[in-house]
Amino acid sequence: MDRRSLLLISALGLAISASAAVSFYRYVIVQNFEIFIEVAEPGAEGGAAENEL
Amino acid sequence: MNPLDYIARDALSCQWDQASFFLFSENVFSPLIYYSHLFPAVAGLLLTLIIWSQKKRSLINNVFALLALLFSIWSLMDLMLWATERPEIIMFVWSSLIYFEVLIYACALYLSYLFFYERDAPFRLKAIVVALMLPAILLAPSSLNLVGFDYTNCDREAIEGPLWHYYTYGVELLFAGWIMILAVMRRREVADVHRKNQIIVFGTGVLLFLGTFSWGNIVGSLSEDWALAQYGLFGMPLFLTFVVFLMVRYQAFNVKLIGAQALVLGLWILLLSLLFLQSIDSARPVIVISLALFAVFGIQLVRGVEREITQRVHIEELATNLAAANARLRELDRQKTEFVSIASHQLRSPLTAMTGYSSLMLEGAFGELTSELREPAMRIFESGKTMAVAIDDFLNVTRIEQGKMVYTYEDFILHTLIKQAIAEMQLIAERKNIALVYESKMAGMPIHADKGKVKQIITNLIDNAIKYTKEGSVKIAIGLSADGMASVTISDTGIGLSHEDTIKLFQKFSRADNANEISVKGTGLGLFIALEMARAQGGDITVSSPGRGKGTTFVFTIPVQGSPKSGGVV
Repeated sequence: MDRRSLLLISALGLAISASAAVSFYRYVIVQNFEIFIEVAEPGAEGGAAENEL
Repeated sequence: MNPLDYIARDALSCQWDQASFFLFSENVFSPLIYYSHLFPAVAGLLLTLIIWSQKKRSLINNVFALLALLFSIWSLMDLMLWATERPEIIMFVWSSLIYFEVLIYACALYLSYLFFYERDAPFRLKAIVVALMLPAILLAPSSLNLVGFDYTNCDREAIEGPLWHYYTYGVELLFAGWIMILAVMRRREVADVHRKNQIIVFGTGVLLFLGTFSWGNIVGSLSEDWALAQYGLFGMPLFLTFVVFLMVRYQAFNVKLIGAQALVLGLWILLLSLLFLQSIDSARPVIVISLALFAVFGIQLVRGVEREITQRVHIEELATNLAAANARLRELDRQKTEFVSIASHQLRSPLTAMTGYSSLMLEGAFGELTSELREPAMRIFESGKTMAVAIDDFLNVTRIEQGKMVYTYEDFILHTLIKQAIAEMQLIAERKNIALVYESKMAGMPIHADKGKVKQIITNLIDNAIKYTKEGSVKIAIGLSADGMASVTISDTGIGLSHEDTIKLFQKFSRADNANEISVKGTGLGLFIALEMARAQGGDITVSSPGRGKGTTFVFTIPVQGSPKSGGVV
């Protein structure tokens, strides 16, 4: 494989690592994501209202 | 309250089980999920290890191993999503799946290019693929990838955003289409049917793999029924089946050993995994015995293939060495021929002076020679003539071997030519008291050939007949052969030939075993040259003898030009 291709693949690897690091920080460290919870009506099957915590 | 704390408290009411190693929990409601994920994951990992443990690895093998590794990691991560109860882990793993998905498709495209074209892909193609992947990779941590975590009715799912639904799946389908176009184009380009079949099998295998994988993911994602997605994982074993078929049927990848190892391990894992199915309790002893037997036979199979490959490599090395030795021998032979040619030319000039001056001395050009001087002068002259004939033979052989013998064709009467040759040989025959008898029934037969070469052939045959005849006669007859060619038959009453002698007589430096009986000097090249010259002009020379001491008959044939005319006896 030529030098340019190796550089391209290295850059791709770097981008994936950086992106994965940001994801890990966001989702695992600071846990910054939205949670959708549907509150089921008593006695009803399935939920009606949707709340966002 | 922190939403995650709320979920943690509420999780008890959802009856979520805590996962060990993020992989094993009661949350995975069906053993089929473990089966569909662990089997391809372990098979892929083992395949990667097998390929990367080989001493000789080509680029295509490396890419193939990388594809198997990426798929294995994807399978394990997907299994984590089924097993774990922790939302932050689910969100992180789910968001990271996007890297592996686009990489799997890109690897499949690269692998297909390498297989179809048998060379590395151009940089431009790689740059386009990476550029198409980049948005999915860079936006992976954003809310375009995952909108949020769905806790509705105790669900444990991420809600996928437009990056997944529109861009990533779009790019994946584009890559799959690209592979299909490459396969169709390449199949049209190649002429070899064997290669066309390889392309069809590989293209079908990789597209079925990606198709099954995409179908599982896309249908699962859009319908949000993730139970469907697990069937997509069976694409990898399907692809492996095609690859193994390619290895066995078409010797593709040049990794028969890897194929055998992967097949054995894959089947072994398949058998092993059956042990974990709860519904087949009664069959467990049979499976255990099968596993043990298969382990033994599998090892034998792999060793057998390894031995066969080692032998094949050894034979290939020997063939390569032999080819090199042959090339070297050809070069040496060429150098030898060139040397003989140069040496012969260098010897010829002084020899011409020796024979010329000795001839002049014998003719009295430098005064009358005394009887004491005449004898040495005669010896110089005759030895010089013998040597000149030998040098001419060497030069003729060189010309024949180099394909440089020139033939100048002309029309002439064969009868006249034979008479000239007989006249020249008459004196030598008389010295040995051998009668030269010529009989021609086709006196006016016209021939279109190289007159000088034909005369040389006939002279050589008559000369041989005289040399190898102690007493008796040499008969020369001209006629027509059965196939309509002019034939010159030279038969003698000489020492004759055994059957073995007649077979090797026309080879270079070959002489009859009984030639020494009558002390005849010669290079052993005359008949070789005569036969080559005859064949070059469309003719032939054959020899026959009733046996040793019973004489020999040579028949020289040459194509006739025009209609033959009958003649008389000379």
